[in-house]
Amino acid sequence: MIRQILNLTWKEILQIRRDHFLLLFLILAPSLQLILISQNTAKGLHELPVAVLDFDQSSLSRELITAIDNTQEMHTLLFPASRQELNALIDAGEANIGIVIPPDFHRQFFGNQPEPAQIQVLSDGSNILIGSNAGPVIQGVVGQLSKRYFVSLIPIDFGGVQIETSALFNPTLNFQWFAIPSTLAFITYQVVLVIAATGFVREKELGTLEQLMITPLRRLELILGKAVPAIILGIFNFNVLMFVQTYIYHIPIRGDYLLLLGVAIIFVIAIVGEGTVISVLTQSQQQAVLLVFLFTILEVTISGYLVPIENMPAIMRGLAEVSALQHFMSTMHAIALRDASFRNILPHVSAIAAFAVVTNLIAWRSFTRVV
Amino acid sequence: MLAAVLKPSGGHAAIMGYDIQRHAEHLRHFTGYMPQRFSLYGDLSVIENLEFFADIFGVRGAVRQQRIERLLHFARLEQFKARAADHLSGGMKKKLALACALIHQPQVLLLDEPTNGVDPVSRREFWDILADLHLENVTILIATPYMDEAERCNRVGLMYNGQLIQQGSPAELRQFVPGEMLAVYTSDLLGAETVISTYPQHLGHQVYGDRIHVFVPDAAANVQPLQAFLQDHDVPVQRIRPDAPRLEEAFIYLITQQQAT
Repeated sequence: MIRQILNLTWKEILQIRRDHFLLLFLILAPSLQLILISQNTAKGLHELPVAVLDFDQSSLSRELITAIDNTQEMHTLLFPASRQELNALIDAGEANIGIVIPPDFHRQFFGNQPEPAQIQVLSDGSNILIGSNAGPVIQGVVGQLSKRYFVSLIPIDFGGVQIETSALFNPTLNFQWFAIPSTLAFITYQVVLVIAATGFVREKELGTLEQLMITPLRRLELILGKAVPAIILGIFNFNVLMFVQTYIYHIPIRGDYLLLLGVAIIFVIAIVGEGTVISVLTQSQQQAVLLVFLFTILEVTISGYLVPIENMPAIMRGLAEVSALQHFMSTMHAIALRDASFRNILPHVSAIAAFAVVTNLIAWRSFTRVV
Repeated sequence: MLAAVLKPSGGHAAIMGYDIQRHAEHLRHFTGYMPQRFSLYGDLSVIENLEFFADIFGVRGAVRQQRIERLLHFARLEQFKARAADHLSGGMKKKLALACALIHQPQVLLLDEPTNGVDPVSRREFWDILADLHLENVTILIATPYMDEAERCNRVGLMYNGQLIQQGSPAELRQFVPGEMLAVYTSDLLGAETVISTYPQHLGHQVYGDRIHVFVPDAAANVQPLQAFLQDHDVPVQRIRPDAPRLEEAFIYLITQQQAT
């Protein structure tokens, strides 16, 4: 019995050795996954854009702003003139954190008034990581500042500063509100990629592609005939998932559903292009599925699904910029939770559209070369 | 390649006067092609496959219905209309593939080893269908490893190692066999073969299962001398009789010649 098992094992080893594609995959994919994930998880929040509304305009308030800017986590970038402007910046996603310093900040800080100095911290709760970390980071900065002026450690409520934090869009910082839309986008990506990636290669394997090529079907008709059903299936799938998200998980869609659907359509077209490239260039369905698996591993890390992009090192954030899934996830959060307008999400939409054009052009080029 | 699935690495070919590369799209309407491997949709039924190819070839309306009915009858697949193509027998699959290749009534039919792995009864049926098509003035180009199938064609080209060795009608090709043929039945094939090579009138020989085909200048005149020659060398001989050479003998002879040069 052991002999027979060994015989079979030897045959399997021979076959794997012949299958260079599988061999390369077995070596490359797991290491890649380990490296990407460990690279990403090591870092904390990094240089988040902060908008400051400073009514106090004192040397103390300026000192506070510099101290915040000096942290690794935050970067004071924008200085709106009014509350409306501050809110607009956060809605648009240009600032992740808003800080409001009231007019009598320095007087209350130094004076022995009964009520302590107050600052208000608004964070973008549509990203759970930012929402939950903004308060503690500011708390740390203010603590340092108090220590410098009052020498000894003074309790915050005595001559110190009261920090009032509120997470916008997701006031209770419900983790599901953040995670489920991301998961939905991720599942849509996977489903569409698998459908498109197995499209041509299945016909290649069955020999039916040869049969189709001797019919009067033109190449453009052939490639569109395979892409259209994949796109329809992808959009159907997206709507089913949105239904589950809304009616089973009760996650609100604050923005325009039609706008979201429009972006989803562009996204699905982009991913169908990506899948078609895989399908045209591979020789078997097994190869295609392994490649889908590889892309999925990549996307888990660079899309911000596992680790929010604000948390990534610079190189990874560069990669995240070219991930259509990352832009789609951001759009999901922006429209569903922040009621973002078309102008707010325009950078994401352009990125997804550019991705769609590029993948489909590559798909067409490789298709006309192979067929 | 003739069906414009593969790009030729060199040279020219034309079907009905149209260059296969320059007029590939145009030719698709006149040629039908049946690949060696079964390449229809196994998860679609017989009728769905036919309908799909009819639609792709632009066969519509009443004509479509009529033609599908006719092809189903022709291929004797009427009872299996609703069956998934994957669940057909090897022979039925071939007939369905042929029906699909005929959906647009091509004038030229290209068949790549159409009867590989088909049982003898289905094979005969398949050739009956081809004969009917031939009577309807369809030109059929067929690649086959079976010489008995080649015998049924009007013109045969013998290919070996990618080279066209000879072409002509089966009768013409049979002429390439040297002299005439004697079939020698013996219980000692190995012994007989060595001895036969030394027979003075020997022009060549081929071993077939229980017999040796010997080529000599005059078959009738050599029956007795050969029998005597073999018995002199202690080779048991059951029977020697003149036989008409087939395409198979001609093909093997021509290839041996080719290998010798």
